[in-house]
Amino acid sequence: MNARRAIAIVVALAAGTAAGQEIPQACRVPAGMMVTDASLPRVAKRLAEGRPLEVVVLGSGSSAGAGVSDRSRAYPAVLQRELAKRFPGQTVNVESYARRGATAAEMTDWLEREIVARKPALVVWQTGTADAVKNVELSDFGDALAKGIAALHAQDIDVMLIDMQYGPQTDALLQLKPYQQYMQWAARTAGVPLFRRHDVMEHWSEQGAVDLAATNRRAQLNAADFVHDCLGRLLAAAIDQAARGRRGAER
Amino acid sequence: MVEGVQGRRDLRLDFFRGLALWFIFVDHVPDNVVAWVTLRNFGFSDATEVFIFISGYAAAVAHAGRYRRQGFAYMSLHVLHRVWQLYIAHVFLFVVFTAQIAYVAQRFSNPMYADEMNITGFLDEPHVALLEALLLRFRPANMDVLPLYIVLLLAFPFALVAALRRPVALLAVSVGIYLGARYLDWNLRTYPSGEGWFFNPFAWQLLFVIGTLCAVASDTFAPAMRWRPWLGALAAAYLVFSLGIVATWYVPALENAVPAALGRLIYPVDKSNLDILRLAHFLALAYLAMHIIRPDAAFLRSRWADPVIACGRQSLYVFCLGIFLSFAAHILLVEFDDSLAAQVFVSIAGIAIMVGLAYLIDWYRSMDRAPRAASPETRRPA
Repeated sequence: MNARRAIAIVVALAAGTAAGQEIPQACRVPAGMMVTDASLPRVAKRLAEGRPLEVVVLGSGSSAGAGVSDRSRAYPAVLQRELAKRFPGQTVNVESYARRGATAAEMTDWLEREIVARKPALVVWQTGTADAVKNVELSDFGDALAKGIAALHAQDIDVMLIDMQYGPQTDALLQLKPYQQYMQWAARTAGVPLFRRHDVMEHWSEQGAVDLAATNRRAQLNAADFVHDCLGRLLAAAIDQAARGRRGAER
Repeated sequence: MVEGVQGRRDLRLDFFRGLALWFIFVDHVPDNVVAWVTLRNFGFSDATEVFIFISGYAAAVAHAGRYRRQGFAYMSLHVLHRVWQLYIAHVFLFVVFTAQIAYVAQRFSNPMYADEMNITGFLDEPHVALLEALLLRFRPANMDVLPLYIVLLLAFPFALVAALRRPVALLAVSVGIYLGARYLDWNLRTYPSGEGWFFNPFAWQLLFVIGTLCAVASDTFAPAMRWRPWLGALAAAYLVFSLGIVATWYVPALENAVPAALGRLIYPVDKSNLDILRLAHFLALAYLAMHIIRPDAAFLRSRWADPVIACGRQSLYVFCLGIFLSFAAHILLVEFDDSLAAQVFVSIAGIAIMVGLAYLIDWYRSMDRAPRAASPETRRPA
């Protein structure tokens, strides 16, 4: 059962268009976008030992569910459901720490003060947006990331990074690129997986899966619900993938 | 107007400045496929370095003669007049930009982004935002170059005198300030975040000063800039290295090709403080361009180069128009059609409008000058 399921996921992620049960067609992205060499060994260990899987989502406005019709539709809640489906028989608990406009440095403080003490298996760390908005010095941003990741690793906690949201308007008004690129580098040097939310959302937008430039309230709610739902599903797949040490794009 | 020190205009300057202006326009339209052809995708430095360097060069050429003929006070006032024009241009662009943001905020306000990015926050306190904008402290995205240029020009009269009298001392001071910016965090502050300017003037002044020195102190620095095959090879090798690194940013398959130790050494490549890698990349590029493309190169006089050169000649107007057009192009892409064809279309149309404006100003100025056509100084050889 498990092996068949594993194959299904790999096929679904790698082929993108193949029929797969876990990821709805509209959410799918090319395998290249989901590739990561980094694994989540601490999550894997907990799973192997059958211990509860405690996950903390740390982030800014979008992690608090900005724009969705209901908080239960925000991606941390979806992640909880999807992880529970992927690891049946295991207790999965996703907790969300999100604050509007929090920079990486502020979140690192928060990590060290509160989150580390909770000893989750995994911190899903969504960051970079507020830093780009405030135009925080790139090296300060990098230092905060490295410090936060080191603090978590020191406590035997895995990390997965999530970068910024893509938006057709916001991309015109913000200089995201340097921060986005630096996150890729930070993830690589620290050996932690990075979820490329920006590229994934841009892909959905380009494919017409979602209208991110919607102007009426209803369509905007639909768009946000779609994004958060798909995000939660893909995140669960990425965590699953990284924890089981499988790679999406072995070609 | 770039009148050569020896009275002959160096078309290469106008050509590269014009090209930089085209690149800046194309790069400022988000999600634009045409942006792939611009300099920033092929090495560390981008059109900004070209623009600032050539601006320093052109300012020196334009004002050195005035300083010699009419003295410091007149030259300074001339520079201040230029600063005033730039300031007005900046305020104008700010108004345009604010109108765009207000429109976008009204029409697209999606809490999915608004709650997280709060880009329209300044509309909540317009009185503060306006004052801060007038003080150059509040600059929305893509509006960072003009304030940098303004601040650099304010200090320029002193730099010019120093460049003419004590070029080596000027270079030393400039490098010192650059190091202060890079290692002691000298920078001007912005509103509302209190972070530093995106283009730190204390760092970027170095490029402007190098441009100035190349223009008026070439006697002192000519030996250093002389063609040497080994230096040329080194510069070319560095450009290739830079291309290789930059390729790993854009081609996911190459992502892990940069060895970790090398990455730790070079990252982050810091645009705000004119990273040494960027500076070296620009200098290597300039060194090769200077020696490979001669001032009398045939292509500079060709029909194809003329539109670029015209834009470089009218750089201030074309630059401001380009910023405005990039806003407009973005709205078109988001509102109506964001297909590849539309991206190519708005890019070409925008450049065509920039060229049109440059020719129009050329023509207007030539009419202005016509009655005095006899004076050799005011007329460029066609």
